Amino acid sequence: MSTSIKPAAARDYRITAKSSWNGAWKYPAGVGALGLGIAAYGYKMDPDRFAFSYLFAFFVAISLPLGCLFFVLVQYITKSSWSVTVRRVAELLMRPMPIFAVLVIPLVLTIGHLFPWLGAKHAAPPENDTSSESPIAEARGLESREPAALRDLPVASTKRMEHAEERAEENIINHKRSYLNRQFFLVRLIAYLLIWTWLAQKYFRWSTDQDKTKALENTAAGQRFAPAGILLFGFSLTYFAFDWLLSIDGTWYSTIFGVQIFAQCALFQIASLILLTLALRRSGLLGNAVTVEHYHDLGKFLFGWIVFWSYISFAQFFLTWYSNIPDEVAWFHKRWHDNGGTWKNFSIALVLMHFFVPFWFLMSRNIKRKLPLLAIGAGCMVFMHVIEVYWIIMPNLGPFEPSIVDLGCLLGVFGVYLAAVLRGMEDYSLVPIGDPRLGRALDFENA
Amino acid sequence: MDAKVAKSGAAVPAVILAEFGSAHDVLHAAEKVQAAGYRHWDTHTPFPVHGMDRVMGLRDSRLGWIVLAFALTGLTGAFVMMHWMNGVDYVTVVGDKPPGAPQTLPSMVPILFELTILLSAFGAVLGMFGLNKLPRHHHPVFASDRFRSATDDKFFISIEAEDPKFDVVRTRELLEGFHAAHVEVIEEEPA
Repeated sequence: MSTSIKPAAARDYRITAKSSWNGAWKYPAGVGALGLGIAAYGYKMDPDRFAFSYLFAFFVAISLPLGCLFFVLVQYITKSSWSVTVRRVAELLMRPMPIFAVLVIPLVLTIGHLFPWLGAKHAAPPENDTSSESPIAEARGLESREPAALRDLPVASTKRMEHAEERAEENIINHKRSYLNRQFFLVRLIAYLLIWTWLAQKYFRWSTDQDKTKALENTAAGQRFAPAGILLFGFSLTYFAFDWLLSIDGTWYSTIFGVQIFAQCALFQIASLILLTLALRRSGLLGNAVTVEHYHDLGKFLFGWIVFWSYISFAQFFLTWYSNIPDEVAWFHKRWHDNGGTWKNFSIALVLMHFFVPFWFLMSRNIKRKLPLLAIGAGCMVFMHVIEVYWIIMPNLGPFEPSIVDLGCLLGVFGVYLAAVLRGMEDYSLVPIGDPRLGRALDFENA
Repeated sequence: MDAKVAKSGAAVPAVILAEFGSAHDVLHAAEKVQAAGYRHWDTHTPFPVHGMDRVMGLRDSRLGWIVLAFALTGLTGAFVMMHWMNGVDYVTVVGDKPPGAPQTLPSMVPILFELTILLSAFGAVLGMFGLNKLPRHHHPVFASDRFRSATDDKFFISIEAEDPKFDVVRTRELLEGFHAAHVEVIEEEPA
């Protein structure tokens, strides 16, 4: 229709001086400072615990800008127009990528506490396990997972088996040393951060320059570079996941692990984007730019990622469970029988609240179009993302024992990140007003 | 304004077809036709026109429920089949997992998933055919030469003779009142 070209930039979608969002960054900054204080105290008390808590907080925080980077790249690669009005909020969320180069320093200083291949011994079973099992059962885990023939072995044999297991673990780790060594590990970390910062800045600059210049070249350049960008992103995220989340367990193998971490980032990003744009819309900052039609599509995205996450997570579990190789199943045993069974509830909660309930809840078109209900679904996924990262990292340390240090690290790292996001929002339009597809995005309807 | 007459003299009006030049006009007209109380009528456009579902008073498609029913049939069917085969009829112990116990459930998931997806796909395709009353070999609107451009650049409203409010003269006048570019009555021999 020839009438569809509206005066797209009738307003500039900026946070005004009177808005409650102006200066809002000070609240998360304050909470972040408090959290980092608690984290520093945690380091003095127990560096092992601190290293794990901080890794948990760091990954929760960085998974959001990583997911946003992927989202932005996908919008360029598909030349999509529906998402233009929500793309800027995603870009603003990925903008503070450089601060993670600073936030990662405490991790670099404590890697000796995290990784068994650097000599960390946290994975040993706790000495004072007060469970009521016999010493034999304790030495070899629960009876249900042992072949019947081993059940009546004397204690001496099971101790010998334990030593053999330790030697086997050492052999596996030695085998990985050409990849898992301190120098190469740190070089890779620098490479990941450089790639992500570079990509995020590049796309942020292209998009925000366009607000003033309206240059079509920026969109064309973004589209041209997106395939290479997505490859760089995919490889760097996969190896980051292997390095920082998988290698905490010295013996586990899972080639699909990187994909699972990627699914988590994407899911967390969509859920966060829904919540943040709903909040901005409530304050009237997005005007009519983001409508129910856009939320319907974001809701489809959210549902799709839930299905994808479930498929990948189950694939990972299934192959390990089915082959039942001791080195591999140990990872899942830590999250089920072992560690006193304290992580079992987390595992069940993930199946129920990360898949089963939101899957049925978000399936209907009507739910996706009723914004309060969509917000409930998105909020559930944000919460479960935090739970899942906790479940991936903390069982390697030992049984579930919640600590104020976990919360302190999370508030600290995420607070600093959120403050940077909110501060950035004050300087830019919340909708890419120079994008050539903005008119189509404003008119978008699910036909 | 020529009425197209079929070969036999016994032909009766089957459909009135109105042609419009723009999506805006057809949307406007559709709103009025709906308001006039017609039920057996349709619009034909080369692309989806935003807002058409609303002005035509169409409710959400029931296809989703059909697919869901097929999906649940596939899910339960797969479970019953595997449980009966491996847990009841010919008990098979695989990987030291007690047959028929909840521990065997993960090994069933690939089949549960695949059969759910397979039947969902059948439900989606067959349901779409059923709801659209397909396959359909003939419809009176195809007698119109002008109707060919419904897939190109023209927009049409057709009102069927079986509609209780259908009246050759008055329905025609109604459609002409909406700035239709062309209105024709298509006649057909009763089957």
